[in-house]
Amino acid sequence: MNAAPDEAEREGEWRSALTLAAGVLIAVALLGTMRSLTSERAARAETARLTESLAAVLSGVPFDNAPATDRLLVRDESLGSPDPLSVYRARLGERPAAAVLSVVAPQGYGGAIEMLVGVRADGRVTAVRVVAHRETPGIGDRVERRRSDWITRFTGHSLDSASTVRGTRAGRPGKTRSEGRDGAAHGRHWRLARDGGGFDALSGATVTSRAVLDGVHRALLWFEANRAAAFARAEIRPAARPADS
Amino acid sequence: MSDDAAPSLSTLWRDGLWDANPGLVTLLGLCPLLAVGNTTVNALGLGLATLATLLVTNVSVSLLRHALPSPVRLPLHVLIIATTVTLVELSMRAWLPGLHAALGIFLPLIVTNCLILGRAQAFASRRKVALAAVDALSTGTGFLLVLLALGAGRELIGQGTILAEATLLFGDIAEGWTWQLFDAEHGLLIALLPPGAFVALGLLIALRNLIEFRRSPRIAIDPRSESSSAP
Repeated sequence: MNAAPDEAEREGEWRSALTLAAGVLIAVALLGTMRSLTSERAARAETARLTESLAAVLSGVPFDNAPATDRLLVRDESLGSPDPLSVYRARLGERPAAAVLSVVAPQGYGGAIEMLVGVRADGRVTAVRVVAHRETPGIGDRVERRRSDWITRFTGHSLDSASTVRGTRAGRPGKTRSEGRDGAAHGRHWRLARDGGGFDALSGATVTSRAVLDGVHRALLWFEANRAAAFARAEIRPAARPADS
Repeated sequence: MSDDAAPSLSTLWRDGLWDANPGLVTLLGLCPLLAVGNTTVNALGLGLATLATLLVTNVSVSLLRHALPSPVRLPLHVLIIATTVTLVELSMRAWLPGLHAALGIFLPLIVTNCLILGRAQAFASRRKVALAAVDALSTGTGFLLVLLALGAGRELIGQGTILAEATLLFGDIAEGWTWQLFDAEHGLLIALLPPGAFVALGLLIALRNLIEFRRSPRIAIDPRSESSSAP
């Protein structure tokens, strides 16, 4: 008497299990197919996006290689992240033209701000662009180039020539690099005007501005300390940072 | 599963678009609705992705309604939905990378949109394929329209534009589609922030209720008769 329902029940369990297994197999097959169909296109789209943002950061710098693929991975906490960050190298006839550093500014108002900072071989900023952020819409998000031109004010500055671009705030123009670095002037210049430095903040977005400015400054310091290694063909271990900068 | 009395097509459309609109009446799937509905383009992108997912899941759930044993029906429905959403996400990453980046986490989160599982369980698993497809289209369109109204309204009030960054969704032909009413600096910031989403949705629901109230005189209350009866 009991055998019949038991058997039916067991049969039902088997059917459930098999259906579930078949379902999972079909799902995996579908996803695998779709992934292999789209992965190449997705990778190309990603490279295109990267090339576009690199071109924006490198505007005005002549180069003849493909910086998006001439990439160096750098692990250095001074760039704002414990994870390896990319350094893209632009070269003109094998000679270093500029490097684009991915930098993270962890102290943004809405969390970390990811940026690309382009630096010419001579240490001047080519351009800065914010690539990812969660700053307040309408206030902090004006660090995006399409919302305001605030971010362009770093262009042309370097650790010690900043004063030559902006006037006499941090020293006289025409100093040599070593003189500039000896004085404390350049360190002061890389602050917001309200902190005694040479850069105006976005109105209403002091925290955001300070984070971005600090990120650009740290990128320049890293570049200064690792200039030769930054353009090396092989992977590098970043040199120790200068004691105080 | 017996296919019980089938609703008419016009009922299905009226339910999805108005009587049981997911965004305004049954209030399903509010998380993406509120989070992504801050610009027209984001709203349109997420709305279309949800509509596509809903169509595929409803049709497959309906096709398989006699094949799935009841003990594993729910996990299999979830599996179908998760697979479909991932397929949609993969294709979006390949063909609409800009929009994929703009929608971010809310694209894979379509999986958790209870609207989709709700339609699969409550409707598609016991209806014929054609009806399930129509149900998906009407419900999905209803959701899309609310999302779009929310997105356009918030974008207009918040930054004075409609269809900003249309190129993310439509490609280069959409270069000049953005319509600017006033300068972004004069926008009402709160409309773009999360609280603005709740306020805007509340206003939309109120508007729908007002229209509904006007349309059905039998539940209308005459304020004079009420005040005269109460001392």
